[in-house]
Amino acid sequence: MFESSFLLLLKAIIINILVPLLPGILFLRFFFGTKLQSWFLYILAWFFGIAVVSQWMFNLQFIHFGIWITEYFALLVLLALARGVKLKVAKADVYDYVQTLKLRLDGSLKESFAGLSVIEKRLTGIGLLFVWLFVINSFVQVSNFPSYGDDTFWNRHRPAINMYYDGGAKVLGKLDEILWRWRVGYPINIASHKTLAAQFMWGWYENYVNLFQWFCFLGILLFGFFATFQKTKNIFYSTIPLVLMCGLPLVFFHVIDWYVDLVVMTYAVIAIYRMSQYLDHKDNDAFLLWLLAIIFATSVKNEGLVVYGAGLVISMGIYLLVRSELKSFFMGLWNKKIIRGSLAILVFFFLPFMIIRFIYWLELDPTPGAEGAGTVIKLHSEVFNIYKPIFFGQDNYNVIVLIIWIILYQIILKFTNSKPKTQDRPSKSISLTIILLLVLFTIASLVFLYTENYQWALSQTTINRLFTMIFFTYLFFYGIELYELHNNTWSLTQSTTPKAWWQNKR
Amino acid sequence: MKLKLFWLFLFSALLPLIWFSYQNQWFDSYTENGNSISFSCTKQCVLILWEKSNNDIIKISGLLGNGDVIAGVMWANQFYPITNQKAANSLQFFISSLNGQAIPNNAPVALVFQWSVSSASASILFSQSNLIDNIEQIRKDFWSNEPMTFYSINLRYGTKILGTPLIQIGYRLFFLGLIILYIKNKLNTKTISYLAIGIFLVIALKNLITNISITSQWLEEYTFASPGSKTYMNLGDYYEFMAQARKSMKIDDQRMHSCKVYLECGQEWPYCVHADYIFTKPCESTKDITKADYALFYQKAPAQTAGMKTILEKNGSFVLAK
Repeated sequence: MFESSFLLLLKAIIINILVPLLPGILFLRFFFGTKLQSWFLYILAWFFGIAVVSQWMFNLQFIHFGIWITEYFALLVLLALARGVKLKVAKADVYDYVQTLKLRLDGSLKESFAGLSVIEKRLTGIGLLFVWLFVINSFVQVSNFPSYGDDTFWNRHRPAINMYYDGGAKVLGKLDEILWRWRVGYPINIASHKTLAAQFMWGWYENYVNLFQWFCFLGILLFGFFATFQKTKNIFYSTIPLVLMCGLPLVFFHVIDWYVDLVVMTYAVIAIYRMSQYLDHKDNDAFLLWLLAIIFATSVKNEGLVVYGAGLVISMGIYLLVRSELKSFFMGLWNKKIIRGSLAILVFFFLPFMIIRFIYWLELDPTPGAEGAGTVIKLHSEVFNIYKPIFFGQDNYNVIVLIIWIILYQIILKFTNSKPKTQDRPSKSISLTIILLLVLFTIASLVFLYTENYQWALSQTTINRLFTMIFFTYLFFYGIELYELHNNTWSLTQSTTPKAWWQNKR
Repeated sequence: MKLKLFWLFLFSALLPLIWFSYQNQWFDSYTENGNSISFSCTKQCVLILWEKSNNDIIKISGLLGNGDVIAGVMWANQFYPITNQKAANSLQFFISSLNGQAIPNNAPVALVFQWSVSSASASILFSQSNLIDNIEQIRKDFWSNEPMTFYSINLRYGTKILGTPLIQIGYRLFFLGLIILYIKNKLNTKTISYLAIGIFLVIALKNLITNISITSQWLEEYTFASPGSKTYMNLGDYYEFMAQARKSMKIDDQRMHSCKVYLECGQEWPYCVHADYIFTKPCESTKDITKADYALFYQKAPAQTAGMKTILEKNGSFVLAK
């Protein structure tokens, strides 16, 4: 359990990459064809592959007891066969298909760097060095030391190791015998992945069992860089979100151990990105990818459903209302592909665990010591006193207030401009992310102010990491926002120039 | 006779409070010898000194151990930490301000010792700082590293320069930068962004240095330490003991077999809790030693053996087997 060696580390790296990646690619290719290509295909395939494999394993337990390598290869074979049949029926050209697997970048990093100003070059160089050292340091941390955080043991490792030694998860039976025999109301994606990784490693190795979180973090950094570069073609603006995400002080500790808030946020970020694509291009596949990402976020942690899922939906609602696009949005969803796809996603990925929750009446998050937490609505104004020290007296968020204020201030200036032009509107992704930031921050603050959860705010055991993850989500899109702000190209991501919202009321 | 013994016992218990100049709590042992103190602290201990007065430097010498020493002030019956360092033979703390605010002269200064700190003859001196002291302290403060603790996932106090958080200095520098840009007629959206990102990056780099120092310290104490002397975080030899316990129990070979283990630890959390959750798997824990295949006693001598024999003994921890 505590053994370590270079070969074991190499094995752990290969397993953590390939085990989700292969089924992820087959899954995305089967359902979305060659829409996703290059870097985006691989990154998304990895994140989605974890959930696909975990859900497959869980659903299989209804008819067959066993979470092992055999069941994993069964999924792989099934997906490969399905993909092969679809290619054959469509008479697809394999050469074209293979081309979409190549790693390409739309633009040149070298040329982009050469075109920067002196200060931008310096900030980019130092920023990339900072990110590189952060990534290496966190990798060394996560691959050399055993687990330490209580939550790691309590929420994920005990269920995972139970499944590892049991060889599966019983779906029906007594409450202390079913599933992973511990915290059965807690979502299972991460524990399930760790069980499978341990199966492939042929043992539970404490030094490598947290590698998964580091890969999640690396994945979202790469996604942030390529997503920003695709829109801006500018290495400076593509580096900024990486610097900001790595520069939030608590992120380091989320990468190496303890909580999986960071993993939830990566799925939330993917969801926002896909939704902004849907809003821009009305692409049905983008909507389905959004739905998948939301559901996968709920399968990592209960907060994925209660906080981030609800926050995303409310933000979208506000955004659509402000833009008077609510009706057209729902009309756009009324098509066969979205309806069929959504139903299939809900039935396969969401319903099975909900059935178990319903049968056994499993609580969302039975945290010990929090009995009654959230059930009494009462103002706890003492929470206001904690905001000043956590933002300005301690180093929980770096100077994040400055970073956010720059963008907000410019947006307010633009909207209060006496002659607003139709081009003077933030792009859909900017609008959505800013509304989301405000909505999530407000929801979190209200929960701390008005419920028994105020105690977790005053003791600072929840408030800082919750806000950190909210900022993390927002900072993913910061490079794009800054680029649009500096270049006055608010409508960069819009394919058509819509009417300004205030003009609809005239 | 019994009554005399009772009064003698009570007087002895109260004696330290009457006799000692400083108020002290939770020390394993504590004595004052004129101008020096000798003590031992293995968990968390508090020493309340004099009022701050015009002094802003505390010099402590003669400390031993690898625990933490935190200097702060007592305010409204609460301890406010100002600065901390690892125990060493010679330490200097700067206590001029707290979160950017000046500390009142009548505030009692306090020291908190955490984990393993001791001294045979430590001396504590107060003094006032001068310009050279301030410059030297700024340099030390900037390069000091906040240790990682069990609450680091939720809270980081950050670097403090002469008692002022680096974050506050960052915000002040930003506004100063805005003024300079305005004077130079270079104030625009881009320059404001570069200024904010630059300050963010400097603080982030400082935090990175702290994180790298934490990693190197642990590599030294755990990964590259020789067998028998590995320690990790504040858990001492726990992980090394568990590794040896698993080997002696041979439970890594028992993946398909069930076994039962009885657990007792000097401190239930985190030792026995984590051992129950993960480190003794696939064995399931039992509260009845007579039904157990193995018994594990961490930092505790076996109070009961149920006829088992010792298969591992290490630094006062034991593993027994049937």
